[in-house]
Amino acid sequence: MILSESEARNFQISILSLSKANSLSVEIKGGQFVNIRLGRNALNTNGIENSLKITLNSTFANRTASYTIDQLEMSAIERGLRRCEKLAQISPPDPEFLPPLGPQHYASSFSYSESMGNLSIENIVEMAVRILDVLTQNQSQHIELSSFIKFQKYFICIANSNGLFGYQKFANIQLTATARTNDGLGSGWAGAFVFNIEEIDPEKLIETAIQKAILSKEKLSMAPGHYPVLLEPTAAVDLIGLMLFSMDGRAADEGRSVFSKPGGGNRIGEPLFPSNITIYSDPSNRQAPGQVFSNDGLPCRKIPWIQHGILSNLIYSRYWAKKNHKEPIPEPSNILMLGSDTTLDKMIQDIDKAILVTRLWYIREVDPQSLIFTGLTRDGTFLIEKGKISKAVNNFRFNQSPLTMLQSVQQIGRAVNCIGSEIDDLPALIPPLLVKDFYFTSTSEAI
Amino acid sequence: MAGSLLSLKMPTVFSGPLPDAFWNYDQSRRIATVVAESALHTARVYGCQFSDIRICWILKERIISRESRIEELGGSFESGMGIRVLFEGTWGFASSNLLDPNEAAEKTKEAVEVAKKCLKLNPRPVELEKLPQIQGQWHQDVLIDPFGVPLEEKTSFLLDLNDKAIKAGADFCRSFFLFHKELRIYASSIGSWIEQTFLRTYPKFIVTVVDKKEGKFESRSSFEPPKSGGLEIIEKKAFEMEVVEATHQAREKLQAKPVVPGIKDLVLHPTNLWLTIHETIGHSTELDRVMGLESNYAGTSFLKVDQLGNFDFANPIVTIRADRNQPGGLASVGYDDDGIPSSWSDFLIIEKGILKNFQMAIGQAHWIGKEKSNGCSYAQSYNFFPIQRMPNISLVPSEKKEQLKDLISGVEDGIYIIGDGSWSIDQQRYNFQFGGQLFYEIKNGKIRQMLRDVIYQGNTQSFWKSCDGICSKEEYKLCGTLFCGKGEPSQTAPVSHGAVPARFRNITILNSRLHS
Repeated sequence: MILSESEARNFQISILSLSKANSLSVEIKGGQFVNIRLGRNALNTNGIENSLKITLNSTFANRTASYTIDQLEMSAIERGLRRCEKLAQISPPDPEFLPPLGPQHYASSFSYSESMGNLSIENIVEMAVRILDVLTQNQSQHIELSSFIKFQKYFICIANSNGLFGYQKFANIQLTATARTNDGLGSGWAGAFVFNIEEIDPEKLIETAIQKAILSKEKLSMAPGHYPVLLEPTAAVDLIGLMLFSMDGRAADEGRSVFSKPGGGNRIGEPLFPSNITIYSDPSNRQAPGQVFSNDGLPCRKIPWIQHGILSNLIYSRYWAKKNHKEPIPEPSNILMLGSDTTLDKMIQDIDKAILVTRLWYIREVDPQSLIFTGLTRDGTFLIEKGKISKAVNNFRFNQSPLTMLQSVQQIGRAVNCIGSEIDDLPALIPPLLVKDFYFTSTSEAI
Repeated sequence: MAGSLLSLKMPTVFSGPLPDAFWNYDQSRRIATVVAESALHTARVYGCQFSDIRICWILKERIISRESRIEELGGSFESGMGIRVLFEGTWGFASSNLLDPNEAAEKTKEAVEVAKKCLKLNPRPVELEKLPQIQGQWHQDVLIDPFGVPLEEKTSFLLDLNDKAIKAGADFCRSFFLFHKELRIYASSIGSWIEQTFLRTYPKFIVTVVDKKEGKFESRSSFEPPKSGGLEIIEKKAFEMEVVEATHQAREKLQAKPVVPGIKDLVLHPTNLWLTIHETIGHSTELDRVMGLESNYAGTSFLKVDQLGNFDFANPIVTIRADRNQPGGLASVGYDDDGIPSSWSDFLIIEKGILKNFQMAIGQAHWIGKEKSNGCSYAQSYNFFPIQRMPNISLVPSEKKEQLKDLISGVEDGIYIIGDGSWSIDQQRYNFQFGGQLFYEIKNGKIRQMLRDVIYQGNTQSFWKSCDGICSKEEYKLCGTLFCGKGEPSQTAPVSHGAVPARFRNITILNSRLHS
């Protein structure tokens, strides 16, 4: 269920008026979520979800608790609120308690457009039909295609008894597709996450996935080792995103982060990367818009995380920021990396020898001390030789730190919208990265 | 289960619907009756071949602490319905958080409309086997309902635990409780009506020690897994002793010898082996993956349909059993989310090393020439389409008396691993890499010093073929996760895996810090 800003405001006022606590914060999130899933060239599952969730956070002095309900009737909300207040009253005092924020100014965002918001289930089915049409046109290629289309239209509204109010609407589409040759020898992937309907081209995505599948049928067997690697944006975003979410200032200050400085403190201000690396967040970005407020009401603004290679900021909670006389910085609500004008194709033309990686898979932290992650390449791993994709190669397992990866970036391409396999719900604008030294520890037979 | 978590004021044993002030069972049943009747009637009127509905009431509590502070104290109460219809061989699904007969009719119409619109996407009509008509109830046995225990007792328990860790030398200790209680009512157009209540409890701590001068830190997580049941799953004294021991072990890890990479034998404790079973055997034997239906997300499988009954998956000493009735098992239920009784879910996946069965939801059995599914369906909540998910999947202990020390004594150069750490496996379940919590060198049949930075890599089939020692049932332990991910939109599922210590020969060992 979508509430307009004025409906949400009135609803919040009604809820806030029920409070018996010293303060109450309310978050309402509701929307319609439509999905169609294709498997092996046919419908697999589908769904339409209508939902609305209300999260209440009550405070008595420095005792606090939260409670989430999904019922709209005021009697149900009041029951939930009383439960929340009861929990807060008996919760232990919080030594790190800070009162809820007062009114804030939030940036504007391009997270919702009428053209996207007005899409219906018919439009989503039509998109699926277009996908299958591409498959029909490529019948001779003997492809088995699986695809997922997720259309979500929702709003988030926050308010509290100190006068804070924030409202934002979102409408976006994710489309991902995996094409496999029906002999099981080739697999290719393509995907997009867009907030503007004009920016999605289902036919092009499916063609890309099919071409990669066909191209990857005959593979050169390559040994594990250190290689120069060209990471497509969808591969790069996962490692960059996982690094960003490890940038907690408190953990760094407490000595339990790769961003901790030996002897104490953190590494803000240190040139950890080459000067061509700039990574930031900006919810006002048009192509990959983020949420303009955090769950606790902090404004999300443009934050450079790494600027010209220098670690510029870490995530600081309100409490930790106050204690350390810093500005609080919420988690990123989008990931943006400064790119160049060079397209992926042009980058390939300029490469003498490197491995091209379409996407990564099952990425997990191996060592928090050095922030090493493991994972695998998947659905399109190729050898580039003398400016061309010369052949497909086997998949690899990597054990790699995003820090050392960024430290060996040789060339940066044009930033584009992308969707990772781990960072799959955060809008991102990431360029392809040519990394001089990427470490593959073993090979994988998986296709 | 011996011992108890807290100084309990309500030691009543009940086996029946969980009492709770926040929902009224009879009222819920009455609501479900009119909602289900409305949905199933509407589906019938619109000409659906089959329809079912899941109506859920879910109560959760989350208490997260850090040192002397409760960081997060949160609860939730959610309810809603999910309606699935089969129209001319095509599925349609819609859900709503409003439990009302009119809304049920509306959402059913929406599900039918979705199915109709998707007809043109579906050249392969769904073929449902003959499904059993069930009138049943199943209720989780609970000794101590955590929702009935005063909050102060639960928060004090966590804060005391953290305090014990800090006093033992930890720099940080985070601990939490997650509780999930649910009433799920299932009804279908073939006349099934099933009422089930579930309660799942997850306690955990993580201690961290820091050497600020050297810029190093190490952590150790608790071994106690989430389980079905109440607070009786936690033995208070043992948990308190473990947090102190864990602190000492984390400190020892700081000074431990980095592992020298190479080929070594492994002895895996059940707290480590459960996750390896889950990733290598659990997921590879899911029929929807084998058929390619998960290829866009979780992946497919290295297994093929025609390998059923003849694939040499593991050493003949290895037998893997699926079930839904182990006490404490997270996937232990009376009926799955297709309304199939758990008696259908008791089967061997691997028998004496040979692949014997795939896991199936309804509509899949005919793909491999079988007559019926084996009760492996689950939906995360009312708002998710039910998909094929794992029951409990466990390593069958050796019938021959065999103890951990016997396995260790047969190792010349190896490593004993306790606890789960990092985990990753490829999209067809060949190549895996796992870590752990504690690593001990084994030399000439004896456990020696602690090691650190150990990860092991392997290939599923050759790994299980290399298994040459399995302990007997005395050392059996049930572990598991609440958060197994699969499907699009991604769903989490609770699942347990039982194991005994087992030995594996000639496994590739890497040093996590050198190999980066």
